[in-house]
This record gives sequence, structure tokens and C-alpha cells, in this order.
Amino acid sequence: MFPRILIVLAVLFLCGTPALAAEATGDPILVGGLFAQSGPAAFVGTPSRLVAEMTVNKINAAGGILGRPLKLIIHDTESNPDVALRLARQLVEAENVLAIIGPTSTGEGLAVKKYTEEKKVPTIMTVGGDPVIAGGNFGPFTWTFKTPQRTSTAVEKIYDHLKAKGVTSLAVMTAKDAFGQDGLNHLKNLAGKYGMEIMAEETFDPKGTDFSAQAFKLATASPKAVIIWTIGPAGAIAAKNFAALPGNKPLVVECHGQPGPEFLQLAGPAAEGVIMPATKLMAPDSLPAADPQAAVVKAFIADYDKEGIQAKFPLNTHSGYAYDALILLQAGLQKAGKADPAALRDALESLTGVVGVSGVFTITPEDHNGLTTDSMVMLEVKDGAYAVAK
Amino acid sequence: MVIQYLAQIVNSGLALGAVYGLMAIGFALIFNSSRLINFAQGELLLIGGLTLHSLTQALHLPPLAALAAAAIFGYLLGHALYASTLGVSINASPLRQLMLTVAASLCWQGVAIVVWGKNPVMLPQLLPLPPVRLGLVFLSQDTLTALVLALASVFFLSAFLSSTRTGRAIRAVSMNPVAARLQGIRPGQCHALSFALAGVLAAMAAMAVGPQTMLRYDMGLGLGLKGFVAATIGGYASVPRVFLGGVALGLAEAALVLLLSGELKETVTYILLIGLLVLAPGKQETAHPA
Amino acid sequence: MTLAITKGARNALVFFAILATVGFFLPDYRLLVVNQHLFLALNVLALNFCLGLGGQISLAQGGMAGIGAYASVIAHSHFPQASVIVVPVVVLAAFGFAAAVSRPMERLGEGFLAMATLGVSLIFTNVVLTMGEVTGGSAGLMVDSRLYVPGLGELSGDRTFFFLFLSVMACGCWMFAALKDSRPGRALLACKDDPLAASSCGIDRAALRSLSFGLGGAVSAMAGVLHAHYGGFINPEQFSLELSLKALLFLVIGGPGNLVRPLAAVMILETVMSGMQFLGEARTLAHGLLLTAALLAGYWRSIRPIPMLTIAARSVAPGRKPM
Repeated sequence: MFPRILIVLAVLFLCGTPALAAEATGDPILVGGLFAQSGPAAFVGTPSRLVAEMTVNKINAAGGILGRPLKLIIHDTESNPDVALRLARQLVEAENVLAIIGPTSTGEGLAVKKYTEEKKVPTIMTVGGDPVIAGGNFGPFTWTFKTPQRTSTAVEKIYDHLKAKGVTSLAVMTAKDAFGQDGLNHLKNLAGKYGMEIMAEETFDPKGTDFSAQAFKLATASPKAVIIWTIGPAGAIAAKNFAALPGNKPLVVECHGQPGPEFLQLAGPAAEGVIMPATKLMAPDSLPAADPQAAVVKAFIADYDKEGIQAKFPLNTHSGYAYDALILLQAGLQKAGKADPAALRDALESLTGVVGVSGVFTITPEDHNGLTTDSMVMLEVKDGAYAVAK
Repeated sequence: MVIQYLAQIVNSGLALGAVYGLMAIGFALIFNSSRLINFAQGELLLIGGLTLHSLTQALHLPPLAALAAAAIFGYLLGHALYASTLGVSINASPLRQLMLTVAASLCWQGVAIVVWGKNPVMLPQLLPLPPVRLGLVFLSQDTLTALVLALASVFFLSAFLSSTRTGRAIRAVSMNPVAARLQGIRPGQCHALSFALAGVLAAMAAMAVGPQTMLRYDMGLGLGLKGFVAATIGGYASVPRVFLGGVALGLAEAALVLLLSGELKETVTYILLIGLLVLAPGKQETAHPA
Repeated sequence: MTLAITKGARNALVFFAILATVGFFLPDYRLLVVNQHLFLALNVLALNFCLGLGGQISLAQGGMAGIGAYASVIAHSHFPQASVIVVPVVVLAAFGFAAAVSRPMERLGEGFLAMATLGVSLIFTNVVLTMGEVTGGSAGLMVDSRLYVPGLGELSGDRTFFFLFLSVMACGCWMFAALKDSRPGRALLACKDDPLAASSCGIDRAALRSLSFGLGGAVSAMAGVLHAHYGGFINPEQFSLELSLKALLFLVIGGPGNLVRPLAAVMILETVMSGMQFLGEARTLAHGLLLTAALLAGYWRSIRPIPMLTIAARSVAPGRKPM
């Protein structure tokens, strides 16, 4: 009889009835969280931090991971690569974390990556740029994963959409920063595969105040569509500059960094008709019931609202990245069965079909992101709101 | 095609050029009266614009009231900047004064972040003027407003400097502070007044640039630098010339984008500028602006 | 050679002794912060050559450090393990470049010189962005190569680099002190006090000042080399205008021409500033206020000994004042 009681207890324990889970047991699993809570990237970093805390609380309330509570040690990277590296080292060398979530910006990611790869610390980044998991010049990415869609995925989504609409002549306008440069590379590399012709390209300073000269120059090449690649308000300025052009205007396509209420507010009437790829967070109501993400996305939005984050940082396309990072971590740890960095890494690399907010992750040794174009939707601005583009 | 190009250069160059010009005049005013490079010039514009934004949200301002409010607030801001930089360090080395303006620009940026947050703010168009088409040249509403504001400021400022007693006092201090003092002018007051005027000009520039682009906590340094460049091109000496320096910079930037590319724009601008500085006569270390 | 140690030398010894002690006892990851500050301190020292000796303002320090960093990383990727040749060549080239650039700018007045050197810095950033294939553009470059010294092997680790930074700084300080006490050094100081009088005494101002500019460029470039191989990742932002402005700021706080005080100002104020993390978004304001306070404190200390009469006589901001 005795062993059977033990088994029952164990089963109860694993199922995690709330009463038992609350007493979650054992040493916490320590995970570092690096978020840009101040500086230029704070508009993504601060809400990410809140989402991360929300998600950790949720995971712990449901019994933690492997029966142990998850503890997130959070630091502010100030959007500064030097500071991010400093804090990553503090996390690993003094605070003995198992893994790291974040940082926020691509520059920070690259600065941290070199170190985490050497120290063999599994790191799930929430950075937009591909270089962190691109390999080649940017070094190996054995221990580095990232949750936001690859730049190439967003480019493919745009090209798919344009091709379906019969648009094949393009102009591209990219920011003079790491994000824009990444976009330009992929736009050019993938153009041939989709039969797109890039008629003209221009760059601009993402901190600039007016790009009408660039807009005009691109328009004179008379492309059918123009793709603008930048994060932040410069995207709205560019949209306004295109809208102000006299005569026939090309279709304005923004990148996956733009979708959010801020773009609508800043671009005003100029936003009308602009299309852009986004995570499904931006179109929860259009998801068919069969979509595996539908339930996750809706639950996330409800929690986001309930925790009061929505009031401070209205939902945008970036909101779910930290949630996804933690969900991947949870899935990885459960698969590994123990809180060990190497086991966690191996498990992460073989995850399949993990449903997150940004998409369904299927990670392989070659692809440390694991999202495809199916994880995105094309949005179109209609009457001052986002709608799914037809 | 060529003409279309030219027309576009003119439109987008003028809009920015007017703003650069206003910044440059403020820059030159302060530089002339106190030999100080004011690195906080862009922050004058930023805080002025943000305050104006808050005002327009709280009250419904008719155009003239908005103009007056901007001018008054810019005036006060300029005085505040003077009091916190040159005013407290009148005997310090010029470098220390210069660095005080750098520190002030950081402080004000900090204030903008704390009070208005980091999201960009769109200033509504407070002086709605109709767009104008002059033959091929199309001046949009924003461009026209910027130009009108800038030209009016240049006009009033020139009149003030040349035909009022106080204005002449400012010019006297610029030329020779010691001689001016001997004539009974208080240089301290003139320094403060030049800061205040720079503040007014920056507020005007904010009204011009706010609706075109937007106001964000980190825009100050960039615009301030352009003002610096424009003032250098204009030669610091006379108000209209400095303003033309700004317009020239705006036009040159637009032209460089159209002729070369946005990528090379900055490089070429600064190479030209250094060339101009090194080759132009009369820029010796003794070059005191008239 | 006398045994009596001057006050300046004593201060320098105390400063380095304190730093070295700190370096011995801090844990590795804390040392990273100190090393990042040392990089800035080296740039302050470099600027001191231009400003403290030659009396010329320069906002090109960031650009010079960047040139050193990029040149060294790119050269190392072609000739790994050739550090013994590459590093001196890079530093010499930076010396030559800075000297050559400064020569035509020598006669520019303060404000114009600031503008021109600022232009050099901005041109550097933009060239790096434009030449993306070589420099990685704004995404930056991963640095795979390490500095290699025959007999010692590859240099890595926080403590190694800490002492590398420290010894470069010590060399720089020695050079500064030696130059200041030499004939060209005195001539430079004369140029700083009164350029016209100096040149009328037969001093070749342009040549001398390009020497001080060149030395400044070389020290900055050396700092950049160390920074690149230490951090393992470089991008143009690390060498932006912000670095130049910060270097100038700290030099002015400590007093141009002083050897140790600006360096101590960097180490102390930067440590305080990086400790302000808890302030979050209010940090920018706090940094601004702290720097203002530091600038004013230095100023008030400097005017204290002046009798009231002289202050009253100097209540004008004249065109040119001693530093």
C-alpha cells in the first residue's frame, strides 16, 4: 500500500493542484532578465519586463517548472551594449543564473552574445535583428536563441503578399542603423527568389526629422510599392513624407517593427492604406478558431489588460516577445527534465510546435528562431485602425 | 524631370532650411555676445515645443495667442538657460562655460524625459496657412508656415538689433565688451538678453518643425548641430546671412540626397564644411564677428 | 635627477597605486566596469595632449579611437598573431593621420575648430556606415582575433586587460609629463597662452600643435585597439560623438593641463554615474545635474583665492581667457 500512496502523491504533485503548487518547493530556478528599461529601446524593453514578470507569476502560480519556482533576476541595460555586457556577466558570475532572457536591442544582443557563447549560457533574446543567430561573421550561435521573427521571415511575408497582389517593382528605404541594414540585406537577397525588382534604394537617419528628399527620389523611379524599414517614429515620418508627394504615389509598406498604436497616432491620415507584417497580437479577432495561436493570443491579451500594462503601454507587435522567451524556456526545461544549461540548450534546440504569442516555434540546430511566415499577418490601415490586408 | 527634381529640392530644402536658419541665428546671437557655443540650443527648441504642446492640449489657443505664448515661454527659457550656465560662471574659462551648456542640455533632456516621457509628440499646426503653388514650385502648408515664421523672425530681429537702443547695445557688446562697458552698457544683461532671444527663436523653430516632424526627447543634439553647421556656413556675422546659411544647408542636404544618396549626405556635408572652414579667408583665430 | 618628488608626480603615483590595488581585489565581472571607464580615461588623457598642452579643443577623440579599433580589428583578421607589428603600425598611422588633419585646422578659432574636429568624428562614423562590407556597417563587427605577444601568447581576461589599460595610461602620463617639461612642451604652452606672441617668438605653431594633436590621436587609437580586442564586439556607436563630448567634459571638470585630476574625475564620476541605475528614466537628469555640479564645483574652487577686487574688474565675458 505504501508505495501506491507515494505514487498518488507524486501524481498529485506533478499535476500541480493550486494548493500544492503555491508551496512550490525546492530552490528556485534562477533566470536572468535583461531589459532596456531606459534609453532609446525602452519603449520595447519596459513593457517586455512587465510582461516577463507577469508570465513568471503565472508560471509559478501553476506550479513552477519541474516543481521548482522560477525566479527572474531583472536588470536594466539602459539600451547600452556596454551596460548589457556588464549585467550579463554579473548575472552569470555573481548571481549564478541558469539562463538569460533578453536583451532588447540588436547591439546589446551582439555585445552579450560573444560572452554567453563562451560561457555556454543558454540565452533567449528578444532582439529584432538577425545577426545574433545568423552565424558567419557574427560567430556561432550554439547557445543563443531569439523569439521575434527573423527579418527574413518578415521580408518573405511582405514579398508573398505583394506577389499575390501582382506588385513586382519595388523601392526600398532603410534606416542607417543595424536594424535597417539587416532589412536591406534581406530585401535584396530575397528579391530574386520572389521575382521582385528593386528599382531604387535609399537610406535615412532614423533620428532625422524629414525624409521628403529620399521619398521623392524613390518615387521618381516609379515603383509600384516602397518598403520602409525602421523601428520607431521615423517610420511614421517617412509615411507622411510619401503621403505628401504630389501625383501618383507608390503603395507604402512598413516593416514588422512598426505595427502599434503609436504609428497610427503619429502618421495620422498618412497612415491610411499603409500595409505591414505583424504578429497575430495585432489582429486577435481575425484569427480563425482553428488557428493554434488563437487561444494563446487571446489569453495573453486578457492578462495584459488585467495586469494594467495595457493602460501604460498599449499593446503593439513587440509585446509578446518576453512571454514567448519564457514559454520556450519552460518548454525547454520540461523537455530537459533538469535545470542544467547543456541539457536545456539541447532541449531548446529540438523543441517542436511550442505555441507562443508570436507564433508556433519549431527550433532546429540551423534555425534558432523557429518561426515561419505563417506566424505573421499582413495588416492594412483602414479608417485609422488596423485590419487584415486582403 | 530635372525641373521636377529642382522643385522638390526647393520644397523640402526650404522647410528644413528655415528651421536650421532659426537655430543658427540663435546660435550666432549667443556666440557673438559671449563667445559661447551653446550646445543646449536644440533643447531650447525641444522644451519650448513640448510646453507649447501641453498648452495646446489644455487650452484651445488661437494662432496669435499660440505665437505669443511660444515667444514668451521661449524668452523665459532662454533666461533660465543663461542663469544656469553663463550667469553662474561668468569668470570661468570659456571651455568650462561650454561644458556647462553640454551638461545643461543633458539636464533639460532629462526634464523632457521625466515630464513628457519618451514617446514622440506631434505638435498641431497652430498657424494654418494654405499651401501655395508658384509655377512648378509647390510649397506645402508646413513649408509655408515654417518659411513665414522664419522670415518674420529674421525681420523683427534685424529691426530690433539695428534700430533699438537695447539691440544696438547687444551689438556693441558683441564687438567689444570692454568698450561697451565703458559706454555704460551692462554686458551681463546683454548676454542674458541674447540667450532669451535665442530662446524665442528656438520656440519659433519648434512651431515650425513640430507639425512637420515630431518632438522627441533625443532630437535636441541633432538639430543643435545643424544650427551650429548653418551658423558656421553663414559666418556668424549678420542675421540675414546666418539665416541664409541655414537655408543653404537645408537645400544642400536635399540636393545631396537627390544627386548622390542619403548614405553619403552626411559625409559630403561635413567634408564640404571642413573645406569651407579651412579655405575661407577671415576665419583666423582673431576672427571676431562684426 | 633629484630624489625630491614633485607634487604632481606624487599624485600620479598615488592614483596609479590606488587603481592597481582596486584592480587586484575586484572580482572579474566588476573589473569590466573599471576597464570600460579606463577606456574613457585614456581618451581624456589623449585629449589632454591637444587641449592641455596645445590649447586646442578637439571633438575628434571618438573618431580617432574608432579608427584605431577598426584598423586593428581589420588588420588582425588578415594577419592574425601579428599584433607586435599591427598595433604599432596602427598607432603610428593614427599619429600621422591626426597630425596631418590638424595642420590645416591649426589656425581656426575655438568655435570653428570645435566644429571642424566634430566634423572629423561624424565623417568617421558615416564612412564606417557606408563601407558596410569591410566594417560591418552599423551592425558592427565581432572581434575574433586576440592580441598576440610572442612568449606570452594571446592576451585575454579582465585582469590582463586591466593592467594593459593601466600601463598604456601610465606610459601616456609619463609622455605627457615629459613633454610638458621639455622645450617643445613649453613652446606648446606658450601657444596656448598667446598664439600670436608665441609665433612672433619664432615658434612653428602649426608643426608643434600637429605634434600634440598627433600624440592625442595616437593615445586614443591605442585605447581603441585595446577596447576592441577586450570587448570582442565593435560598432560605430561606441565611438560616436558622445565619447568625444564625454572626454571633453571630464577633461574640463578636472582642468585641462592637469595630469591626474581629469583621470580621477573620470573614474570617480563614471563610477557614481553607473551606480545610478536604480533611477531608471530619471537618470539622464541626474547625470546632467551631477556634471553641472562638478563643473561648478571646479569653478568655485578656482575663483576662491581671487580677491574681490579682481572679480569685480572681470565681470565681463571677454573673448579669450586663459584655460
